[in-house]
Parts: sequence; C-alpha cells; structure tokens
Amino acid sequence: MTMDNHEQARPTSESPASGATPPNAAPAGGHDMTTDFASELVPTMDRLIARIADAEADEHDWGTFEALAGTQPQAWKALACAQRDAALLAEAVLPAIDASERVRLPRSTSATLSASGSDRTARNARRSDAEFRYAPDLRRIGGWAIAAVIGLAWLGSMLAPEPRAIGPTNTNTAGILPTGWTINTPEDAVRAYLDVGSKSGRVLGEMPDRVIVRTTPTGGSTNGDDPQQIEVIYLRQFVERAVISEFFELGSDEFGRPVPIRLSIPPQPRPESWQ
Amino acid sequence: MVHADDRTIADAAEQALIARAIGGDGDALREVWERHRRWVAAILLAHKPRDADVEDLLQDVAVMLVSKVSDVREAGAFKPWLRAVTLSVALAKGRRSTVRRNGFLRVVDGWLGRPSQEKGGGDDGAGTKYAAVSQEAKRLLELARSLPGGYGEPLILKAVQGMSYREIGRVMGLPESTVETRIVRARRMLRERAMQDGLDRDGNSMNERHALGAPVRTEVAKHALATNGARP
Repeated sequence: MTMDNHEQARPTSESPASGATPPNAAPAGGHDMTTDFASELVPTMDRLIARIADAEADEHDWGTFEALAGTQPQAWKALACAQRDAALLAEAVLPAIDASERVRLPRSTSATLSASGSDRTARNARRSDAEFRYAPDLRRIGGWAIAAVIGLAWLGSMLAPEPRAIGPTNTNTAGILPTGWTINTPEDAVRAYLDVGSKSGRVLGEMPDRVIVRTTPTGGSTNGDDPQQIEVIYLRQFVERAVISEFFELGSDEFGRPVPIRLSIPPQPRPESWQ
Repeated sequence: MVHADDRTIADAAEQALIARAIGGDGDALREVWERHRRWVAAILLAHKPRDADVEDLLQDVAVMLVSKVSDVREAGAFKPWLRAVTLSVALAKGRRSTVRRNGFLRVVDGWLGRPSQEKGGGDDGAGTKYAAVSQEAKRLLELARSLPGGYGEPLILKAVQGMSYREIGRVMGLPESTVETRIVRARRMLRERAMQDGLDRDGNSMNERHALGAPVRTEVAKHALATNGARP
C-alpha cells in the first residue's frame, strides 16, 4: 500500500460555501478534505481503499480507484486486505455489540424520571412491568442501606447464643467440629470453618464488608401496598494464610491467553522479631 | 447513499428525542440509550482493561447516564458527553484493575486451587459467543486496541454496523475529514502490525490467487459490491 499520490480536495454537492463554515466545524456531508491539513498527507490510494472498505465510497471514488488500479495492480490486493481487516474487526466487535443489547437502563430510576410525583400508580406499574436483570442503581444508591441490613443480620447471628443450631445431629462430624457443634445451617458451617481454620492457622478471619453482586426485585403488588422485596447476591470474603515456596503471577502468552509465570524472589533475611 | 434532506430530518428528530431525554422524559432516555449503546460498547472495547467485562462497564455507563444526563447543556453536546462518560468509566476501571494487580500477589498452589481463568484476549461480556469469534479476529482487535491514542477508537467504531465517518465525528467531536484521516492511517498501521504479527494469511492467499491473473479483480469487486451495496 505504498502509493504516492495525494488527493486534491474534491468538490462535493454538500461542500459548504466559502466562509460559511467555521474552520473547525464538521462538514455537513461528503468528504470535505479542506478542513484537515493532515488529510493532505494521506496517499490517495490509501484513502480510496479505506472508503471502499468502510462502505463510504461514492461514484467518484470508485472511478478514481479503478483508474489508479489500472496502473497499480497491487491496489486490488491492498483493497482485499483492507476489506478482510474490516470484516474481521466487525466479527470481533459483534459480541460486544450483542452484549450491549442486553443492558437496559435502570428501570426504577428511569420510571421515576418520567412519572410525576402524584402518578404513583403509573410509577409502580412501570417498576413492576418487567424485571430488570441488573440493578446497579440499587447497588449504588441503596448500597449503604443493603449493607447495613446485611451487617445487622450478620451481627445478629454472631451475637446469638452458641451453639445456636439445635436439631438433628445425625451428621457425622466426628474429628472435624469442636465439641458441642452441629451443622444444620450454612452459618453453622461457616462458623465451624472459621473456628477450625483459625485453630489450624489457615483462616485469619472474615472481612466485615460484603460485596453486592446483584440486586433483583422479587415482586410486590403494583398498588404499592406490599413492600418491595429485593434478592441480594453478595460475596463474603474470608482471609486465609498460606506458607508457600513458589510464587507465580498471571501473565499472558503471545496469544493473549493467561498463563502462570514463575516469580523469582530473592531470599530475604528473617525479621529480627522472628529470631 | 442517504439523501442530505433525509439526514437532516433524522438529525432533527434525534435532537428532539435527546432534548426530551435531557429534560427528564424517561421513555425518551430509554430510547436514546437503545440507539447509542452499541457505539458505547465499541468505545469501551477500545479503551477497557483486558480483564474488564464490557457488559459490566455498560451497566456503569447506564447508571451514569441516568443520574447525570440532566447535566448536559444541549442536545448537540450529548454524544461527546456520553463518550466522555464512557471513557471515564473505562479509565476508572483500568485504575481499579491496576490497584488490584499491584495490591495482591496471585498465588497458584495445588491446595488453593487452579489460578483464576481470565477470559482470554480480553472479554467482551458475551461469554460463549466470544468463543465463536475466530482467533484471527480476536488478534486483530487486540492489535487495533494497541494502536496509538486517537486511532484505535475510530477504527473500532467503524466496525460497528451503521457508524459512518460523519457519525463517528459527532461522537468524538471531530470533523468528518479528521475521522477519515485517522481511520485511513489506522488501517495502514493495523495492516503493518498484522503483517509483523504473522496475520497475513489472507495476503499470502491473495498472492497465490493474484498469480492467476484476472479473477482477483472480479472476486474483489464482487466482495466490494456485497460490502458496499450498490456500486456506481
């Protein structure tokens, strides 16, 4: 694609009249090249090929391209390459475009925008007419409230008398659980994990914050009598300790795939407090 | 080719829709989002960190749009504003990712399980659908993302069906001719990098076909016809 021609500004039917358009304004249409000095440095053939590959070419462009390609046969190959690149890029971009089709505006917020304060029925109907997959507005606006509720629930469970799980004890937990423990609920299992893990030195504790992953309204009446319930998906984070001798970090290979890369860490003197 | 009068009418209708959205009309805002989210996704794709998910970032942009759209001064400024919001979301995600990478040493050890499997080649948020994309296309996208600032974005935007130079210029706040120049240069840089990267299989095959003579021209012209629609 080494062409040395430089295209002259070609007149277009929509070119602005002289002095009618500010120098930096976008032209009304067509391919006005007078507004960009840099454009003069782009070879004509490159420009024509890009226009054809980008479906921006008009009759004049095609005529010019065919005339130039008559003396520069490699132009056809360059055009083919440009079209193939365009097709590949379109292929690569398509999944992201499809993903965008799934992302809707936060419905509750947009409903609030359009409904007047007195139009409560309409607002509630909008809110409940379809579920929205994500509720990032809740995650942000109501995040502190949800966190507080979860925090309270968690605190309540921590303050409950132990052992709080009373029930069938037919689960074989011999040798795993501390004396007096039974596992009937997930909280029992977590408590046992923390207790046993801390005794072995592997588990240091749980982070106080929980990360909201998704919030989804579970329903409620359209007249607003029933309180709206929200299903909250969240992460709990536990801190563990490990003693290891080999270190890796995630890198990527020549194809961009993640691969573990061994790290060499120089030997460190032990802290004085350890000696 | 779309007639200028039709384009003017469509532009006026869109400006009116955006003005309603800015004024607080939720239905209008929803329609505006549905019209523009595709190029928003393309900009995110151009600027996001490799391990970020486009769909997640789009959620963030959607939230910003809803909460901040009233700040837009006029309908004509909406597209550059939405692009700026999109860039800020992508860059903020990049900063968070950097902090995370620097803050934690990812440990790979038998009893800790396998290393987290990041979605190769930068995820697009489309899950299995992205797996169907050819390696060559993924690699070319990565090369496009690595182009110098100002070149990769218009090139990726052009890959979105329906985005013209003019439309890209409006989004980026640039004259149409500047957009075209950047795309021309971006295409050239991309091809050079692809050749260096060994992604020249098509070129080789074209060489073989070129040796046969005239069919090359016919074949390419047919392809161009299919791509461009009616050829003059």
